[in-house]
Amino acid sequence: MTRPPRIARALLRLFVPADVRDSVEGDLAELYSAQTNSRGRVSAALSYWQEALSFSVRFALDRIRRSVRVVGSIRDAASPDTGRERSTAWLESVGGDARFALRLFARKPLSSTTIVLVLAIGIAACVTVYGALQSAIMRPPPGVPRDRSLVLVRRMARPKEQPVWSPARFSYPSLLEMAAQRSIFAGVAGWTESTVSVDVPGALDGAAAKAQFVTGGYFSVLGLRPAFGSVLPTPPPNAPAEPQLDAVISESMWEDAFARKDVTNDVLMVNGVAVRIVGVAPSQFNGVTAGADDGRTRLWLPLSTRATILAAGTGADASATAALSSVDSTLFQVVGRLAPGVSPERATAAVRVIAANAVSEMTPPGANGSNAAKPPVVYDADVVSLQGSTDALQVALGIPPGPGLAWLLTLFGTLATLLLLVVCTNVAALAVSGAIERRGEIAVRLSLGASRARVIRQLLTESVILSACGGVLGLATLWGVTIALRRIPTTAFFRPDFGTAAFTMSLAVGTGILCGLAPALHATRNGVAAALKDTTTGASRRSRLHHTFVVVQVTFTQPLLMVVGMFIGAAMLEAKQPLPDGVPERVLKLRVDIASIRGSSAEKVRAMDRLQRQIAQTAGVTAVLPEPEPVGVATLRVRPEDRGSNTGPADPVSAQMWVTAPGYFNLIGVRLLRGSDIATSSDTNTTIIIGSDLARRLWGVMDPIGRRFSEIAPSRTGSRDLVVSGVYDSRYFDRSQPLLVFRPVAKLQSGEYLIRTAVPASTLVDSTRRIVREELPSAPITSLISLKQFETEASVNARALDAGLAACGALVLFLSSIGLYGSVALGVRQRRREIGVRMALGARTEQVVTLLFGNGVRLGITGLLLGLPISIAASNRLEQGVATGHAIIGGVIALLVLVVASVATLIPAVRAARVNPVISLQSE
Amino acid sequence: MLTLYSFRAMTHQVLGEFEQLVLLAMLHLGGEAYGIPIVDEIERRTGRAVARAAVYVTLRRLEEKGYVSSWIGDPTPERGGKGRRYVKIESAGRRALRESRQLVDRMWGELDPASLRSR
Repeated sequence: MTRPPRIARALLRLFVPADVRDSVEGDLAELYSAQTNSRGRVSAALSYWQEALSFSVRFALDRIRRSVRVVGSIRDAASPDTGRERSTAWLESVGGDARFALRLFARKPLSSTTIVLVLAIGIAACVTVYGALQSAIMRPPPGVPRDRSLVLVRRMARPKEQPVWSPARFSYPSLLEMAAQRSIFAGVAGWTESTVSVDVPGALDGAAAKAQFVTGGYFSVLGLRPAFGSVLPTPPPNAPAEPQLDAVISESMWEDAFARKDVTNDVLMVNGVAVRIVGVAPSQFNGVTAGADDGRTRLWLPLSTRATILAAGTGADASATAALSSVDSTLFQVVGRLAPGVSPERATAAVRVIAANAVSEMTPPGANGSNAAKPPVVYDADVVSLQGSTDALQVALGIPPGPGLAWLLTLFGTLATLLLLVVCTNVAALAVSGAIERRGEIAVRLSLGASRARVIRQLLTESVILSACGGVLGLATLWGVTIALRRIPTTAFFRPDFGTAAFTMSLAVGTGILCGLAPALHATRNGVAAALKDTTTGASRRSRLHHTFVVVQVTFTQPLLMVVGMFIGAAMLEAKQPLPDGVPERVLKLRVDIASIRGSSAEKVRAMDRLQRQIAQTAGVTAVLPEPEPVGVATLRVRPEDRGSNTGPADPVSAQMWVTAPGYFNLIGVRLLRGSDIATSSDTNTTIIIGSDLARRLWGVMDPIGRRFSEIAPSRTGSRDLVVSGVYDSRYFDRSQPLLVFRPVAKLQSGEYLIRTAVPASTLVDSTRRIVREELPSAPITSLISLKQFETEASVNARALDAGLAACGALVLFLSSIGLYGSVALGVRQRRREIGVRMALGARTEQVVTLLFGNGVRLGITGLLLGLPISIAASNRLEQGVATGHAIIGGVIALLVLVVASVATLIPAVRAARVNPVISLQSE
Repeated sequence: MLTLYSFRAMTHQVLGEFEQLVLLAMLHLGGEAYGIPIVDEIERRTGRAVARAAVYVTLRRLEEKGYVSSWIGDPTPERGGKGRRYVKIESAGRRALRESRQLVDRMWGELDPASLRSR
């Protein structure tokens, strides 16, 4: 037996009094059962919902009425006047207005539903975007409490000749020095992260996990309360440095490995070392800054355990211990709690002094016989509030840190604001249209003796009910969106805020209420005669209002669609071409944590060479190569003697340089278009492989092989000429990223391998895993998946973003279409008498349609012209992040908007022209 | 929710139009009337749609006034294990109905309903 809708039943339980609830529910269930058999389940459910809402409203009003009777009775016991009757009558009257409003909505379901849906969708969309912005800018990372005194202490570094800063870490002595600044920081905590191997019987078998080794008081500084158990205890100041083998695990690990059972005092093996679990981190907390992977940090351990645990993994006991005392060993990220009255600016000044002292104490580059003199590096440090989880947002959107994020936040803020304007305009147009249609009714009511206040109260009741329904549905939609987003780890930073929702709702709902009320205020201002006279005229000032709505809607819609269209266009134009068929399925990506390999550097290299040889000898494997590795951004200038006609006099090119093993392009199925990837390097020059896009840009159709670049801003000391030895097909690489150039090197040891197979790569996963375990028993495998699976997972964010943008564009178009159609249709209806007169005088249908259609198109063009400056400004602003054909996309968008406006005009025009002129004239 | 009214005092008040419809429908149905057939009876005889919830609110009010009484029938599976609330009119309700009819008749007096046709 099917049961009635659960939410509708919950509504009944909420509003129907207990003494009659069972019988009401039973009767409705009986009806539902009968209707399911006779009319089907959907019809029965709709009917059940209708009854549930009706029962809820009536019993709620009944309850209010009874409450007023009580109040009135108590008051009348003291003063014998008719206050009771007045208050009861007033409530009865308001109840009557509400019932009339509900009947009106039932008679016009389409227009009422349209307003409610427009409000609901608009509110949900706007609050989602505003909420995402607020979560990114004003809210701390998931699980971290909102506290203005919590700050992130950042260290940055850059090569002296390059402008872009990269994140850097602090040394342990610097961290201690910051903690000693009690006048600046009430508390300081640091952490360093390593990949470890975790074993939990029956759940995890040598799984790679992120472990954060934290200083004492980490959880108390952040104000974190555990979801279960306790946090790591803060050791007393003078406690002996013995490792406390305790751990706090993340909520995700608690779910995956322990099924959320009581884990207190349970033991798990970390790099083969038994560690006791003392508690579970707060819900959704995965660390202060999300990592570059899925950010699912698994466990936190005391810093005192680091040497023991890493030594168990690598056997390098001395290095792990020495790292804590050396200023050269910069391992730590730092978070702090400001002392009362201390500003981030003052803390920044103090931290800069500490960072500068640390730099002066560091070993100079090239000293101690280090085999590679490093280029000079500039350091800086600052203190920023922890209230914005921008790192998480960057990870979620897949954009590199830097000014790009601020630009993106500005863009989304502008999009959300424009969307809210479109929604408000839409709601205003629909509400005013609906209210204007009833001016005749308003005039009749006034003539029958209704007061202005009474008429206004009726319309206000209708507007409030309609807008409230839209607002409630919008909140319900937002609730669903929030639940959906929380299931995606990369959007865990999103949490809608009540203030944001309240602001957006009040704006949209307020628009609906005011715009529904405005015609009544206007109609009743000048008296009955004026109101009646106004209804008998055809074209009037109302048409100017309609024209304004149409123009305003088109004005706001165009730049909104323009921005969305540019992003979608960029994604389509710059999307990389898939690798040749069959290649992604026959390439395995292996990633091993080589830092955990035991032995000296030479032993590690020999171990990795052995690993590569063993994998290459596996049946089904045709080639094994290390993956290319990024080495930094290089600024290149073509040598004067090698310039083509396309190259300007000072035309430097910034490119992301990667080192790659020879044969890489052949392995991934992307043959070089010209030249080869054989590595040659001398004191004066080295070979590079550039993309076909860059080659075409610099030399057109001329052969680029042998032409040379000079590095203007080298990533290392001693610039050499870079000779173009090969050209790869740029279509197979992501062209939205900076230009890529590859430098072949003979030897590459990154711990990341590409394995080309003759059979489906997934069939060789187990054998590869076995080989890694045999050759590198201490090194956990951080990733072993096919290239196909990797590309699918990597493109999830981009696809989600594209889908979101496409949905946004469709939503905007949908909302605008509804608003345009509603406004134009009402305008045409208002001219019904005029149309009737024209046709009675001999005008043909097509002439009338042309007249109305032409008027609508003119309004659309006016709106496009007014929106053009906004679109141009938006596209110029976007050019910083999106390089694509603005003119083409702008033209397409303008055409699309014009088509929508035209169709919205044509349909009501054709319908109006087909009505018998006698009927048109009689209806007035 | 307490009320300071005397229920007895309300028996001398005139019934509202909808209250009369509900009571009359109960009389037509005879012994075992409950919400669903009462609604159907009103709609059948008046020829207009009736808000089901309005009937239930009115029944509750009538019961509080003492005009009707109710009892719960046996639960059934198609009702989710809930029984029907059967209602029957009490003597106070019959008296109120009678008084309401007499009041309207007195107001009509010698007026002829046929004389009210529009000219």
